[in-house]
Amino acid sequence: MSRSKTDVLLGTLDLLVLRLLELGPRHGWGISVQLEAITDGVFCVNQGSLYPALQRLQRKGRIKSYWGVTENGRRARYYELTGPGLKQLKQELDNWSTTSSAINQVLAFDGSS
Amino acid sequence: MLSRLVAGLAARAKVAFGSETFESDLDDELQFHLEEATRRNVERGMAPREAARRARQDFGGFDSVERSKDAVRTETGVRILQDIARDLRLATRGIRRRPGFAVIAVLTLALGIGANTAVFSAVNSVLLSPLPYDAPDRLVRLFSSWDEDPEARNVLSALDFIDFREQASSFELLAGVYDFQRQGLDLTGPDGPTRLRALPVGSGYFETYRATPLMGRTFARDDERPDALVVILSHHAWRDYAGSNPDIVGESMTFDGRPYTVIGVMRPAFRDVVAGDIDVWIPQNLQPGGFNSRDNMYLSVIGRLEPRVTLEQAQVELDVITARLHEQFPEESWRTTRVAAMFDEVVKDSGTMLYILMGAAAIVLLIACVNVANLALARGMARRGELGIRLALGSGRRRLLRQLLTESMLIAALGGVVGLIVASLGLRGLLAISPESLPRAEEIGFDPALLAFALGVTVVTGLLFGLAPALGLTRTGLESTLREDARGATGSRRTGTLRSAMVAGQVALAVMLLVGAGILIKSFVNLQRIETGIESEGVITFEVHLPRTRYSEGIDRVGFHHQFQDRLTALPGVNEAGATSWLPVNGPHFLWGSRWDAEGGDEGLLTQVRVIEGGYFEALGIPITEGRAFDRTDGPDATSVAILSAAAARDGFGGRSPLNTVVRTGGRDWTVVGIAADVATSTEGDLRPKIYFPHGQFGDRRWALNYVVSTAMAPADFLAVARRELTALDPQLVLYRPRPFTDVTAEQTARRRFTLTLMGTFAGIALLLAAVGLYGVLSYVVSQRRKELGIRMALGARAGQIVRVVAGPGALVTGVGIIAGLAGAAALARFLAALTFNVSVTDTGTFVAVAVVIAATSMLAVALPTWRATQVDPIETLRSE
Repeated sequence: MSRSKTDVLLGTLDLLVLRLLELGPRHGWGISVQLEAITDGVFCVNQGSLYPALQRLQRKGRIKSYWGVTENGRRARYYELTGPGLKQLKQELDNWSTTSSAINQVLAFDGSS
Repeated sequence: MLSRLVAGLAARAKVAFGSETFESDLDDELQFHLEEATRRNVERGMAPREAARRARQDFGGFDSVERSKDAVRTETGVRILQDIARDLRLATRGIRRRPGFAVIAVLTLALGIGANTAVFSAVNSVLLSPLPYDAPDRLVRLFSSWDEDPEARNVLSALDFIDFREQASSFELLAGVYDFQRQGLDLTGPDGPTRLRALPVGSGYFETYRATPLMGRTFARDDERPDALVVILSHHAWRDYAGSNPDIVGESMTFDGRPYTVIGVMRPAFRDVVAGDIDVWIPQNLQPGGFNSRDNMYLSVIGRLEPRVTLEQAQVELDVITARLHEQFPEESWRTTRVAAMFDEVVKDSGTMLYILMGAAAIVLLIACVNVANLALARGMARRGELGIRLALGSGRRRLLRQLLTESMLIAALGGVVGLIVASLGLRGLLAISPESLPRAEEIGFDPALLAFALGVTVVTGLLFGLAPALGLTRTGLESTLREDARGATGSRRTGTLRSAMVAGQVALAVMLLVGAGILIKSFVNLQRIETGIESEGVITFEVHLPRTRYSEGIDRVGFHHQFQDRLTALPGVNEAGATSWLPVNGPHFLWGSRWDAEGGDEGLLTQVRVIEGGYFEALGIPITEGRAFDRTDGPDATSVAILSAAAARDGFGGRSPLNTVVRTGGRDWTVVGIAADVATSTEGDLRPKIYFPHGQFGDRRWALNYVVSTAMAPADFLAVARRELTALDPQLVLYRPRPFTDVTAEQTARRRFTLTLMGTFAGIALLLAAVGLYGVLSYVVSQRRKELGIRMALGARAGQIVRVVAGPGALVTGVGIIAGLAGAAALARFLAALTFNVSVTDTGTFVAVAVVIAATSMLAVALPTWRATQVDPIETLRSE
């Protein structure tokens, strides 16, 4: 591996999955490919956590799944966002922006003031 | 909330067990992922094999697909249920692989639990649950006793009772019950007469028990008179003989040919625990005069203490009243009266027996637990290697523990289930053989608490000993385990000692039970050998009750019995026919003082009074050793005559012949005309002095006669013709309680037989279990030391030496167990004393016999493993190393 891959930040996998599913139904493979692609391969989703996370979200009713057919004719399980899922996404996005801006402030802190 | 929880669980269970789709969906989904990744890798220019490998690697490396499946399962909660299912599957597989262990463990537990639950059910119902009445702890009984025998529990005279009832303020109620002798009434019905069990009681009887009638009323003081023709029906009599007629109160029913007015019907739940199953209640005549004199003692007395009055206070008051009576009636009143809690009195005789049986059952359970423990230990030890390897390969310790646990629990549960089957069969058997005299037997039933108790014991045993080896494993560390196993060592010394100690303990317990059973068996054999003095073979007995209405005069009754006897003896196949007021070997009855003038003045003897008719002595083969037997000439107008038993002649007259002495008994003079050989009064063979009177001269008292007929006919055939003869004489009479005479003695020994059967069963089980335990331990030792034995044999050890190596420890363990057991038995034997007969509780013969039996059984248990040890092929063992 030439590029170093980073595991998705602890605790953010749910957020990322929900965010991707907001754009439309996807299968597990699609989610992992897209995450890698969008982050230029920086984020590598550990499959061992992706599928359990999907199961967890589904159990909590944030997403639901159905069996569909891919563009090249393969049978695959698709996940899509539910109403509660959308609500949670909104909430987590708010949390994230609060948290990240706070972290950024700390990181940008240069010792003055 | 709950329903959601249930729905959730159900959904998970469905995922875990029911639906294959969860797993296959998961497979499909991950398969899809891998295939897509492979496809991308191929597009990127990799060779297909490499592409697939990389896809798997990217997924997370070796085994990560499985692991992520697992993670998904955990996420869905399917995991726990699947684990349990898998543990169960593994456990079942493990059991199937070594069915011997499981079968022995399950059977051991089943026997222990079954025996215990059955006996505890009985003990619980008879001894531990209160009497089935309101405020049962206030119920008491009164007994009369005398200075010579303060423990006597005798009946009272009606007049003493009436004085107590009038004067004692310690009691809310006192009531008289006539249960001294079984009473019956012949119900005249359309299908001929039926004899019902009747209990004559005084007023306050039902009120003492706080039993209210379903309809009608109970007896009042006014009913306590002769010829108060009223009756109270039990619920079952009302159902069976009155067709559950709701308007029965006030109606008349014909008993003994007389019209009785039904004044009440009791509720179905009411039962008399003292007298047993009663069909109808009639009033007892308690008017002074007639047979109600101060020296005619026949009345049982029940009572209910006033609130907050103690037994001691009531006793003090009774003593004061008794002292007053002694002053008032110095001639007739000389007894003391005791008050005792009814509960104690009801269960008293059975208490010792049941406690001993309970102890025996507990010992069986203990042996069973030790066996299971030993088996589990052995199995755990045998698996240490396997477990060590699995630990080394990374199995979670908790996971292993859980699996062991599952296995033990599975076996415990199986044992519990089989144990319940054994218990219910055992209880049924116990009731089937329980003596009629066992009080409250009809109350015996399963108790949910007992189920819980039995299961609890199983589960704890299973847990304790299933886990001990596993915990030991985690403590000692796996390295040493693995090394030990690889070396094929002789097994840990400490566990070896523990197991040997447990087996020795088992042997000791079995010895104790066997000694107990042995002593009881010896008692029973002694009882069977008792010389009863009668020839009961081919003798049939039954009762004939003559109703007062149609046989009011003594002459009528005597006439009837003469006619009936003539008819019986005329039958082909009948040798002799006679009758008596009380059967021999049936316990003491009717104790009257007999007095006579002797040279030194007035002499006397307490004698058992028997009134006989016809060929009584001949039918039972009792020889007349001196003088003559009675005959029909001994009628009411002839001189009153009596026959003494040999014991009465010896005790009363020493060396002199009592013939022609005039004896005064029951207020009349009788001339002794003969001496009869002794017959046993009870099954214990006691030869109490007896005095016989001819029925022809004593027929003015209403004796219910017990016929004894010696016949070559089969009982059923004889009874058929006897009934025909009886009906021909009087179609309204009932041939009551017919049975072979041998049954009379069998009834008397029923309780002993019952105790003996159970003790014997327990001892047998204990012996079996101890042998299994010993066998298990030695087999284990042999299997553990196979390699060592192989080496020894390779180095030239002879079979004899091998035998010594294996059998030696077995013999040692047995020996220690036997010695400890004999010591324990000697220490505990005194509790058996109440149940023994003519046997010392430390009977040497029994102790020796038990030691021999145990030693022999142990030898069998030792023999097989020892033989296997000598069959060890040295080459084979060493090669397998």
